[in-house]
Amino acid sequence: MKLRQNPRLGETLYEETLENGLTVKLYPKSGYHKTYAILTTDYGAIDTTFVPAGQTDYVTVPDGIAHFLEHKLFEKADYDAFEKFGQFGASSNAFTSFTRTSYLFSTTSHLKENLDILLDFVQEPYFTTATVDKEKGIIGQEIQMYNDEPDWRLFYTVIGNLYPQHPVRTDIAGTIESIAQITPEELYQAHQTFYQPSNMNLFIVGQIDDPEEVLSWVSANQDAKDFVAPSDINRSLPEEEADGSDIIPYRSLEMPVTRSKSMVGIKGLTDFGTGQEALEMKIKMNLLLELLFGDSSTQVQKLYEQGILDDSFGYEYAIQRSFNFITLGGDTDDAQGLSDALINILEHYQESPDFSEANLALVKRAAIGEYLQAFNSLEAIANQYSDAFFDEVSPFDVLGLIEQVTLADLAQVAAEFFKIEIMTVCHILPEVAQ
Amino acid sequence: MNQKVMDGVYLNILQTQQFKTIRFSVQLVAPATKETLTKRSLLASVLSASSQAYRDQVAIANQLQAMYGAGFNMNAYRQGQLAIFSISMRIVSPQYLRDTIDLQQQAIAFIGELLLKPDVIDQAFNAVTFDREKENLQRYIDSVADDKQTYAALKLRELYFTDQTQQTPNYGDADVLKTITATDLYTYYQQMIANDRIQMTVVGNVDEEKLALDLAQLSLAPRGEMLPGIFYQQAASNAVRELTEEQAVQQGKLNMAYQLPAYFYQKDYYAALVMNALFGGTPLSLLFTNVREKASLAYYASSNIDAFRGAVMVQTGIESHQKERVLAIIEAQRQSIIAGDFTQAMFEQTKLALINQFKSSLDSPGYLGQQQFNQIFVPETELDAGRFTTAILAVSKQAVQEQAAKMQLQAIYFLKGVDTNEA
Repeated sequence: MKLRQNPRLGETLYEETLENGLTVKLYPKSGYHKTYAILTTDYGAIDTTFVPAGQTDYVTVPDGIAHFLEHKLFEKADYDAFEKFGQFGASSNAFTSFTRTSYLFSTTSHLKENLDILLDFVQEPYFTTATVDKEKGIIGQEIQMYNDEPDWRLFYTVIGNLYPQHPVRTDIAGTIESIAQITPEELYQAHQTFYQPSNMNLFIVGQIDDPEEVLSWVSANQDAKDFVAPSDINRSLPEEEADGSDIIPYRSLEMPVTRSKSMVGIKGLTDFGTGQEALEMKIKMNLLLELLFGDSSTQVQKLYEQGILDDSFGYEYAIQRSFNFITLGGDTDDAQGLSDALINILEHYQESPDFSEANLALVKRAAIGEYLQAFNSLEAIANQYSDAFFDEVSPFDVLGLIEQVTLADLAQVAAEFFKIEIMTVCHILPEVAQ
Repeated sequence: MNQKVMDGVYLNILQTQQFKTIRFSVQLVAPATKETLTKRSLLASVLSASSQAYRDQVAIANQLQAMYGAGFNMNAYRQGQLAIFSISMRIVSPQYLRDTIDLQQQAIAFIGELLLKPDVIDQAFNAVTFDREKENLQRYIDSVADDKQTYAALKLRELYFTDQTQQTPNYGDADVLKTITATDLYTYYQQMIANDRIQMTVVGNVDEEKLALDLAQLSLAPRGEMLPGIFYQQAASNAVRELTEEQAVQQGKLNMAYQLPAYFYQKDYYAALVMNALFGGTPLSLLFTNVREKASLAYYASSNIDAFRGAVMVQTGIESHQKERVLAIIEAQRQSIIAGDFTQAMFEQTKLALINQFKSSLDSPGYLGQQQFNQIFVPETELDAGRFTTAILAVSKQAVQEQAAKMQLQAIYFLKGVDTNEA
């Protein structure tokens, strides 16, 4: 096993790639009672057009299929995986993002048995027309519930404006209409293509008495199964304008809310991949946004004092395979006033009193502290470091990456992103009584 | 061990190397009323907005950044009959920093600045800050109605509790809030600081002698020790209180409240924990499997114990025309527990899930701090994994059946949505 040691934290990350291509990472945490394991495939909601394993032509499948597959994998001919974990008192869960699907459990006993359950239920699909049809009702309810959530609608309207074609614009769960079309055959096809061991990684963190022994359990499980030889995965995405000229600049919705909501979105036009370049971009962007819009921003404080924004204000930079975008906004009485003010700060970042060497030093110091504090949480360790960014980069390198960022780096990022032609605005307004 | 620092002021230290952080909390405790809950809720906002030394949010944020991204939180809540005003800080354990900064001293000094040296002019809070925070809290209260799941939970509690204090949400009451002035609030603040019982809790790797010196900076004064019991009890009613409201939402919310007098680590508590876990407290429970999964009747269906107030609450998200079916199927689940109609395997795995949950929570500094606090008011509070495991394993099937039989339905709140497919 490859070892990455961190003397400062007194902790070690063990890594191994098995013969079948599965990457395994182990992170023992001394003093912890719990062990958390997460098995992730590099496959998510946006992967709807691809060449199925063993075929040569592209197919396009219904929106929401990755999430549907995630739900359905738990149910087998003779057991339910959720219940099987439950027999040992373990709890399990799963989630689907735009580009990844993860299955996890946490336990305080029977680690070996739980690892077998995890690997087996994810790697041994079972779908029938009857079980697939029943799931449509459950997921339909989920989609409906999110449709009632104003913040959810705000977010999807913004990314819908930024991406007129890219499937990131669609709800991860799909739509009631799209999931109605899903068949067992399509689920098998997606599973064969994207759940190859070489497209997956297993991250185990927490109480691990003997890393070698835990790895041998995983190897034994994998050696007992037959896998077809790994094949390349070809995905396809619709073309969008390289200069962002197809972005929809504005949309507003009326919903039953007491206060308006306002959000600005910015589309990144460069593809940074998923490796170190993307990770560095993410670190820089988060520092830049924290400088301009974080808790220590004097400009945000001013808007707070003027009553234009409140504690609900927040920002996020999403960077994943094939897309990256910024969203910022929150609740307000003056939806137009808030989006105007945010765009003004973005466009004039150089004149911002917050954009200074002194503030960057503080923001970096906070980022270092938060990075260290996150090693308290097994979930934070596993969820962050099983990400594609860390296929090559070590989690322990992040500190150095934060330390090396300069104000000139941030100016370069700002110059690339803070341009009106790649921005969009969405307002959610209270319904006017008829 | 809880050490008495002086009359009414206590310090509890949990020494551990498990975490990368040190967590400090200072909790001020007084009897809860509708007024005190509201005032304390507003105080948490006003005191954390500015102080004499830190004039605004930017000054506060800069100090937290300088303390390596220290976490700081001030909030007010209710635990049974007690109102708790809590300040907590989380810092990186200094051993992991390449810096000689005295973070512990700075963190405690920071708590002192915000809690004890507020931004006050002429016996009133700074008017600008006060007005803004009052308005923000007002807006927050109004916006709770937008989150239907929370809204339904609050309406159910209003319907179930007969006591005004218990009907009031943690964050207080909108009508009381309207009447509070900057002078009133400062007067109340002075009473709180002078009279409230103070409990300080530290979780992490600390030098206890230095900690005592750092805490002495706070210059707290002795105070009274008297508080009401933490548990709330009310007489059971024979009639079920029902309320239905209609709103233009896609998903209906059906919530129910049962009385069950099994209090936090008191008589029958372990049996009630197992019963609730079987009924709706875990994702393998009867409500989850039979209402949500098998019957596809709900997006979510769960129950939880309110062990400081002797109640079990059920919450579901459903299609509105299914209300009667859902009510019937929920009652059927309770009846099957009473009849002992659940497998030995399910019984055992439910116990394992509770044990797993308990042991897992020992990995959270926040949970450890909170349980240390609870133990002061409820000495039976269990912090030991071995003893908790033994107690859960000892719960008999019959004891669980009895707990289900003791549940008395008291209130049903229904938020009726607009159905696309009316039955």
